Amino acid sequence: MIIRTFRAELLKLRRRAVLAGGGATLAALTLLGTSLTFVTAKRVVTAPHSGQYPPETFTKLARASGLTLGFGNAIFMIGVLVFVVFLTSVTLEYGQGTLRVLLARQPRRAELLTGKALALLAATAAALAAAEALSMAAAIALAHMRGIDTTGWLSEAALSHAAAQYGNALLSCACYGLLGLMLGVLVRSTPIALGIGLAWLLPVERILENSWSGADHWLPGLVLGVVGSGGTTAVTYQAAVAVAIAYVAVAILVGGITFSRRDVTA
Amino acid sequence: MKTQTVTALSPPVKTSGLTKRYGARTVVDSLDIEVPHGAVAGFVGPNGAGKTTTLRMLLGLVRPSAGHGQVLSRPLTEPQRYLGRVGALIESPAFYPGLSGERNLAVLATLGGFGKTQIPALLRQVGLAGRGADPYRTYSLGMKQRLGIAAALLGDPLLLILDEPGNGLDPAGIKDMRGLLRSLADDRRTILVSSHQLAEVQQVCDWLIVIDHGRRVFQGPTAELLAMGGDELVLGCEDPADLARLQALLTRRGLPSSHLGDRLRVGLGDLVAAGDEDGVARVVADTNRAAAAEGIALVELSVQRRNLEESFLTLLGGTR
Repeated sequence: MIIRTFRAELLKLRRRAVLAGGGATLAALTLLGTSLTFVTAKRVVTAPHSGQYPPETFTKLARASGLTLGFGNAIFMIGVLVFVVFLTSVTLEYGQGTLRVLLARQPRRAELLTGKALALLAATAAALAAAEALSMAAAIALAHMRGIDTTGWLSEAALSHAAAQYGNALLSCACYGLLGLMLGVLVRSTPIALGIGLAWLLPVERILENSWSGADHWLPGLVLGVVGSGGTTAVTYQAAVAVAIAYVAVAILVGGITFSRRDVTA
Repeated sequence: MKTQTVTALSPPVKTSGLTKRYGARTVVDSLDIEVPHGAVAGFVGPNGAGKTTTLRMLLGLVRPSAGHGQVLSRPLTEPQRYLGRVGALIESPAFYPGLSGERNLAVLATLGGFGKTQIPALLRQVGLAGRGADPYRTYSLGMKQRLGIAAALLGDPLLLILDEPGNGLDPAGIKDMRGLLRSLADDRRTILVSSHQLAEVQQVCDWLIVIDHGRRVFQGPTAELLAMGGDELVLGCEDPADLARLQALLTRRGLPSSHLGDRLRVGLGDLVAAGDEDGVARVVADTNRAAAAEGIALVELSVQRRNLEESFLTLLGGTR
């Protein structure tokens, strides 16, 4: 049953507008993150940076991990995109009334939701692989333009970093997506769910981050950012993953029970 | 109208005390209905009567507050055990606007585990053969409705539940829909169709369920509801001066009449059993002979049949 739902969901995702729109947005965010990383990089940081996100240095970018540093910096934006895609994939089913048609064909609701989530995760995995490849291509071009040494990028360590970065990005985006999906299940309305989700991830968490030192340990968007970047000096990767998984588990529990039991009147 | 083919098989749809409450509001109130095997059953009632909520409960979309029911001999609490053999169109058709009609059906066929090979034939059957590849958003309301019917027919279901299938169809489309419903109503398949178009229901449905305020007010063969209140005999004389003599004659023969303009009408409900066409014919012939014997020349002697709309309104009038 889950396989049928998975395949049906893929049929919906494989449409030109989704592929073109989603692909173009993902490419734009990836290139933006990568470009900002390289364009704002300094040869040497001479004075302490006043902002929250200090620019990268040429030395750091020249390391084996430099090839995918730009991709890592784009993960937050990509995560928000994945959040929106997962969220709208379920709120639109409510809004268009297609959910009742699907449920009349596949009444096992938990399996319907699982199949949908798996299809979206599979699409996310493929899209992230393409995005990382695009980011690496852009990084090579930008490094040459800025005169950054790239000999360290042609090593086994660089490949290993790229694989780890992909894993972190996938885990982070999967969590963003599942949180978005469950928020969509709970709220059902596209504008309201988007409003709540984006307001929380963008301004609210940023404001709290500035006023609370423990924000990046506990707030979901920031924690997922830490997961995406493989850990920070303030929050370990393991701690961030544990908190992220806890958030997702609670969301799946609440969303899953709600989806299974609630009347479908749309 | 299709001949009633009620068999001994258990009814494909049966509810007992089915109730749905939203807070203090009771939308469906202790509903007992039964759709016989092989019937084309009309499910009618005024707006807000609880038809769609009932259909949603039958499809597992809405959880009953009380009561129980069975669809294809499986309890409503286990829709996964019967929905594979049920095709449904609930309210307006709902599909993915960016996908073609064909792709929309493919999504549902994949989900239901049905082969996609039937899709071209289904599109032909509902008159969308040439438009299957077009995006759903370009479809007219009537085409959307047809696609909804095609979706309901995926997997060759034993039971079809159709909510207002004629919505948005032009007269030709309604005629096609009528033909389609008739062709689908073979002995193996049962159809439950909710509709406001009572003339269509009268022509297509052999079984009728009428609900109002969430309660059943009638259930039975369509002919039975039509016969409620009976047919009328309308008589007109060549010479209006003979009208009084004709009325006296009718009274003597046990046929009390009333004036209908310059004609007389006689209610047949108490004289002839419902559906007794021979009895009606006998009354007509006897009346004609008696009038002739009295020297009264009739220019009109006709049987006025009640239509479903009149019967429906009479029925609801009695419940309000």
